[in-house]
Amino acid sequence: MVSNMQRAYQLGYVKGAQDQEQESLMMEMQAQQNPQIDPNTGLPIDPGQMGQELPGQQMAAVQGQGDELDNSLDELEGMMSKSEKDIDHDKIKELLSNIRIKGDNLKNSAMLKSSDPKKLKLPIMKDRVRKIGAMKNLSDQKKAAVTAQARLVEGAMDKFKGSSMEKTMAIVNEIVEQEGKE
Amino acid sequence: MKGLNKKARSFIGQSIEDLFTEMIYKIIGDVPQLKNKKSIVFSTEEPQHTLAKLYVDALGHRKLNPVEENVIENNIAQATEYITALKDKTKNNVINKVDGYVKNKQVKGQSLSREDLDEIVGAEMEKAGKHLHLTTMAEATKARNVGAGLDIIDVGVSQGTSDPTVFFVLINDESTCSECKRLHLMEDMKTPRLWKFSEISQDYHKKGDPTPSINGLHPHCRCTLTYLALGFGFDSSGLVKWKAPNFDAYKEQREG
Repeated sequence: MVSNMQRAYQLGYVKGAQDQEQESLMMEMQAQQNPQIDPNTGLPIDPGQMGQELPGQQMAAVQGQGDELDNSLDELEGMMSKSEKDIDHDKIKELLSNIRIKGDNLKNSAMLKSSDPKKLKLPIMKDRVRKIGAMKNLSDQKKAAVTAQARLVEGAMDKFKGSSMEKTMAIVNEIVEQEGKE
Repeated sequence: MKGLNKKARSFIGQSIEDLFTEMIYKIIGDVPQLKNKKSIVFSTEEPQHTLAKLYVDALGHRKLNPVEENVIENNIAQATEYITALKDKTKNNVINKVDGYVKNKQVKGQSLSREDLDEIVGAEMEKAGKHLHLTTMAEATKARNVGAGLDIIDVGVSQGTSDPTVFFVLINDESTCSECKRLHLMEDMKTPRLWKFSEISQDYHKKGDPTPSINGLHPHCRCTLTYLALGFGFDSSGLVKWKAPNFDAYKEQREG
């Protein structure tokens, strides 16, 4: 199946895949090639611009937003490997909302300078959010399919029970009737 | 000792034919095999949940590419064949059992009992029902996981991976079987075991096989195929966790 899909991809059957892949590769290359990011840890390397840090209070605010975004992402990731019955959907909505707000705030923050650690982490965070989005979509479809499977099996067996009883009765009546005629 | 007459045999055959035609429509959907049986099909309400729709659900209702269409068509045709084979088997079983009963009564010069007949036909229907339940469960699990698998490949390609890393979400409770634990969890019994999609068997699973199957490990398998993107791994509780941009959790599991 994988080789079929690869072939389909090469033939251009997978719509939009090339654009998305290009975007993904660029994101990864950006993260890898940016000399201010440690490729092993994904953490920013101090660019050596000492003395240009934000004032303590502002830095703490940015740091706080970044940490809250990290925490929300951590919690959302944790949901991926939980089964449907263990998932709190309201919590997921809340987390997604937090991620969007904190991500936008952080991105638009006028306080950030090019050397600030949180800004340097933004491409990595963007990549992380994009991948979580893809995994979450798959996860949602998978859960919808679990529910659909249960309904399919339950509906089919209810139908079989009712119809087979009707057919049994009809068969018995026919045989008894045939015997009567003979 | 002439047994069932031709008319009775034909009636039984047609009743079971109609029953299973309805079931194919209900379980699979409007497949080409039902083309000449529209009178039966139109007499029933259009089913809301079918294998065909399950594939569409598992694929997130997106437009399918030709390869995906082909995979799904083949799987649906195979499921239809399983139910058709069960129909033929049930037809033969009911006719043979009733015929044997009628002959016994004729030899003894006794009349047929409605209760006996009801029990004989009912028992065969019950057996067919159990078999149909197993088939439907197995084919629905297959539809769910194959649909998810096709989507995972699609997402993997969009993220630059031709052979994506996958794992099965396992419902770990008192009903979880040892085979699912063996193939879906690491030795700590918490961390999901990772596989490359190409390692997942496309065949039906046999106990002891070294890799899991996309069709599930057994008919009532609740484990679900899931994708793990590059950069992610698991925490100590076995939950998905971001590690680093190029972190390869599969490589780490295999190479320690």
